[in-house]
Formats: sequence, C-alpha cells, structure tokens
Amino acid sequence: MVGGEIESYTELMKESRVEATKRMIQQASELGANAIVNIRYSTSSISIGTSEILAYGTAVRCS
Amino acid sequence: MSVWEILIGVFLLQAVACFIREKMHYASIEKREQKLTEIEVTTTKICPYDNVDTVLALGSVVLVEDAPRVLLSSVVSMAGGEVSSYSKFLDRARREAVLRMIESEPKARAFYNLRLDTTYLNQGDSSSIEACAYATAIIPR
Repeated sequence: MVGGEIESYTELMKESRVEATKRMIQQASELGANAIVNIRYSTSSISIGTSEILAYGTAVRCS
Repeated sequence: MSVWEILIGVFLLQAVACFIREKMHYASIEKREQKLTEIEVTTTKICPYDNVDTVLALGSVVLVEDAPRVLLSSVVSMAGGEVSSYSKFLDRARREAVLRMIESEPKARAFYNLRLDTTYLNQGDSSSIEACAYATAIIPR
C-alpha cells in the first residue's frame, strides 16, 4: 500500500544469489576448472511468492 | 463525512507520502553518486590495468509498488503512452543497486563488465521489482 523497500526480500534475494553462485562454483570445480569467467545472473518469478535465480558462467582452467 | 470522502482523503495522503519518499530517495541517490564520481563504472569487458585483484561485486534492492502508482499506471494504460512514475521507479531501483554494488567494495577503483538484471516479483497481494547490479571490481594490489 505505501511503497518503499522490502528489506527482508532484498536479504532473501541476496542469500539466494550467494547459494546459486556456490552451486555454480561447486559444479565448475567438479569439472576441474580453477576460474569462472563471464558470469551472468538471471531471475524469474515462477509463481506467487516464488522466484528462481540462475547463475551461469564459463568454467576455465588457466595454467 | 461520507465513506468516499474518507477514502479519497486517505488516497491523497498516500500520494503525497509517496511523492515525498521518491524525492528523498532521489536526493540520497544523487548525494551518494556525487561522492563516487572518480570511480570508473563501465560495461566494457576488457580491463586495461595490470597488477590488480579482481572480485565479483553485487548489489541488489527490492522495491514495492505503492497504491497511487498502481492506480496511475492503470489509468495511463487505458490510453497508452509512457508511465513516467514507473520509469522513475525503475530508475531509482537500478541506481540504488549500482550504488550498493560500488559501496560493497570500498577498496575498488573501477568496475568493469557491469550488468543489470531487473525482475518483477509477484507476491499475490502486492507486486514488487528487484534490481540487481553486478560487475568485476578492480582492486589495485
């Protein structure tokens, strides 16, 4: 009704993004990479009160 | 006083409150942007500097739509055209996200490959938008 920032939601989105990043790093290290470049985030609202955060990047191995 | 008069009064009060809040938010954004003018923030992918540390910097904000704005946009949508109150709303969210990203890395001198992601979050009874800004922070060694 009154507008403004929802801090708890901001916090939730931040935590979810950290979680998505962790999973991406986990997957990259399983592939034997030691760096991820060109990371992108994408968010979508799936249904009421639910959203999905996707993190993707290119896993590389520098020697 | 009839019920309608009370409802219109409440709506006008809300509209004024929203207007004031927007002005205050813009004032805060402009003040913080003034402080950070020497920091380079670009969408360029290649960084020309050597001997630097890089780290992923991220800033995000969730803003909720207020009732007067929703009503105004539904009035405008009947005729079509630009909803300037919504443009301002999104602009505020994005600039706030970029500022938070810069403030999250105080040692960084530049931010390369900036990307912005805006999403409409549907919560059933109310709707809000999330703006997220992320970039590679360049920290001198």
